[in-house]
Amino acid sequence: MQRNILLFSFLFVPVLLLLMFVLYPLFELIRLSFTDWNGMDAKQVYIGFDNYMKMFTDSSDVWLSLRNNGFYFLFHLIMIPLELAVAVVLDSKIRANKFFKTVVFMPYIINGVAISYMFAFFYSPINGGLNGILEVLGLESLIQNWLTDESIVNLSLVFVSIWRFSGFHIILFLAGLQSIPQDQFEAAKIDGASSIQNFWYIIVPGVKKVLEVLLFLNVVGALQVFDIPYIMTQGGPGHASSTFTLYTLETAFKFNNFGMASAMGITMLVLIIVLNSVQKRLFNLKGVDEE
Amino acid sequence: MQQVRPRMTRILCTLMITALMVPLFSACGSKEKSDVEKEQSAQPATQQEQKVEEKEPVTLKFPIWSTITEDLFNKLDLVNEYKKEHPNVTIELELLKDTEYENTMKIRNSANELPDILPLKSAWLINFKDNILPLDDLDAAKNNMFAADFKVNDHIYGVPESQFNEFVWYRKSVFQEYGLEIPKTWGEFVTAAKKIKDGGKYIPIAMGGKDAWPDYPFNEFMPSLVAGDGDYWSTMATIDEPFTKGQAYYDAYAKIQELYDAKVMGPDPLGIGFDQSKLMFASKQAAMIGLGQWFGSDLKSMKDVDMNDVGAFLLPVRDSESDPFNTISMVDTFFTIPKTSKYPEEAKEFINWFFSDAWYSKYLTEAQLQSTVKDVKIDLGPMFKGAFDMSNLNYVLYKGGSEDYKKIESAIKFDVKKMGQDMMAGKDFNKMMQEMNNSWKNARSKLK
Repeated sequence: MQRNILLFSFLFVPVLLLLMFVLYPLFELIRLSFTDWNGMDAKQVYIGFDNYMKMFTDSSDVWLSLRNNGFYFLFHLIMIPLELAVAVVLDSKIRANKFFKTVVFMPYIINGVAISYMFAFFYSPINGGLNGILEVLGLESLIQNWLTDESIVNLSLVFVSIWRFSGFHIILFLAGLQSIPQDQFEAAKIDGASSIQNFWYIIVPGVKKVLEVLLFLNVVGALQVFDIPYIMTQGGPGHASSTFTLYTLETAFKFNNFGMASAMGITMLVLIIVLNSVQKRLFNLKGVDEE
Repeated sequence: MQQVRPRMTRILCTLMITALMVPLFSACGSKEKSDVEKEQSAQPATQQEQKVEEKEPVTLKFPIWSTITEDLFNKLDLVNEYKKEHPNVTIELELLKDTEYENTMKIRNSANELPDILPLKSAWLINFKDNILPLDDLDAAKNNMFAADFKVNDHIYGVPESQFNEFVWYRKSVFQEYGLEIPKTWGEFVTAAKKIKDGGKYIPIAMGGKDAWPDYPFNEFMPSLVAGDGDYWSTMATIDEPFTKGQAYYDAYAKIQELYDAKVMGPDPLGIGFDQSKLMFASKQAAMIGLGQWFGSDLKSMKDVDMNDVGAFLLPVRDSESDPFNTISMVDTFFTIPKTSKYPEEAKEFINWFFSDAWYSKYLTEAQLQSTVKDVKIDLGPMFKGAFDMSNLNYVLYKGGSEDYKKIESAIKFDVKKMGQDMMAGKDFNKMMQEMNNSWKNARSKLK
């Protein structure tokens, strides 16, 4: 009895907070997604699945935004093996590896808004750093309108995202690498395993857990990317660099369609769950202990 | 029995002492009271009246969206000026980012936390109409020349603070250098810009296209100017295909496209924001910039700007000098009072004070904006000298659009400023117009 009282009193507050700030808003969001609420009126008319239908049939910009999210997802995915390779190098006994670890991690701890402003100036067509560097190197032919040319604007933004998050991924991999028992490497050495065999049979399975986390973070991060395009281009020119989150906010606040924006919020939640489970199946991601 | 008697004695004693103490204390009380009364009666009558008039302290929350306005309010000491007349009222100013202002207010509205005085743009009045008080009986509303023009459901909900025109600000020395005169038609305007571009020395027109909104003198206002109809958005809501050649919207946008295609806005107008474009004009890298009258005080506050070299002319959109010269007349910053305000009467009193002679003329002269109040004339200074000396001048009072327009706008996410960005980026103009026609017609058919 005393145990139950203790459990109840310890769990009451967190459960209450969870109900108030997680479950209630979620159910409210689901409810709103079936209404035509404009965010101002007291009146909310239930319109069934209209918002969900319109989202994918009436608005080509939703697909454009999702395609832009796809850029972030794809390029971060491509970077993962490279990040693992860098982590392996940093894990070895190279000189000044602590310094390099700090340098690699630095972008992640800088405020995202500051990074966006920094790169906005870097890409600027007037006195911009990147075009300046190209000029000094005599590569004027490569000078571009980095944030206004529709064909490259998303690549420019994805680069900033990679610059910001790769260091964090490398540090996660490093933590994974350091959790691999040294005796596995020693045993492999006795068996005469090559570096590639070490990498494939010890390192990769050893960091599977980290990989699982990273792939999940990649899906969430790619679908929710907001600050970089918002500050650097505001989704422009037109909607060329808009992302799903930017488009959702625009739908809610600029065009007073909170019902549709709620539907978009729910859709994003579903997309994250679906993509993550597909990814898990595809890569057969189970940690070493779970096999 | 012996034990009971002393106890009884003690109780009786206590009762007696209490009985004696009550009048003693009450006498003291009455003495104190009578002293106070004596003191009060000795005070002069005027002081007594003041005490009666003392009101409870009130704080009126008053957000603003412009640093220019904040600087002016601080310079003219709005808070203390009002306190002189209303000692119990404190005006609490809050500066919000202009691009986030409306969103912030929508969020605060959902939490019933709107401020006591809520400035709105004309286009937002419809959005907030259910959450603000009608101000038909307010003196400031009755004396305002434009408040009634922006009625919603037959009620005045906001009192507009200022009226201004849209200008092309230009460098007089650059115009002299290239032998240019103030353009009177759209053709002359484009030609002047091209001539400056050919000189290779200056960017003809500074444009902060990255922020989208700075293209508003063109993309937002020109359809109204071409139509000669300040309520053109409402008119558009009655047309199925307003993006067809011959319609004011299409014709205005064809003119804008001609300007953007001339590449007279620097190497990458979409790559720079408003602040950079402003600096380009201030440092004479650019010869012209299209912005409202409000830009004057912004420019003045910047360092090292030779104001004698800066002039302003009205954007010409007409094809020939025989046509009427339409110019946008913008009425802005509607003072409204939310229903949730705890101090609606004090807020009304503040609005009446704001538009009174004591403050209003002083403020508008400093802001270099025109009055919305009857019989108040503001001296705009030498910068606008000659700007209004135009034959056939026709003021087009810009409005935000009807509820039907808002529904269509929301349904198809009609964003003229983004369209301006697309046009600068070189999107296929005719295809864009065709797509807009289809979406517009479709949305109109679903209007309830």
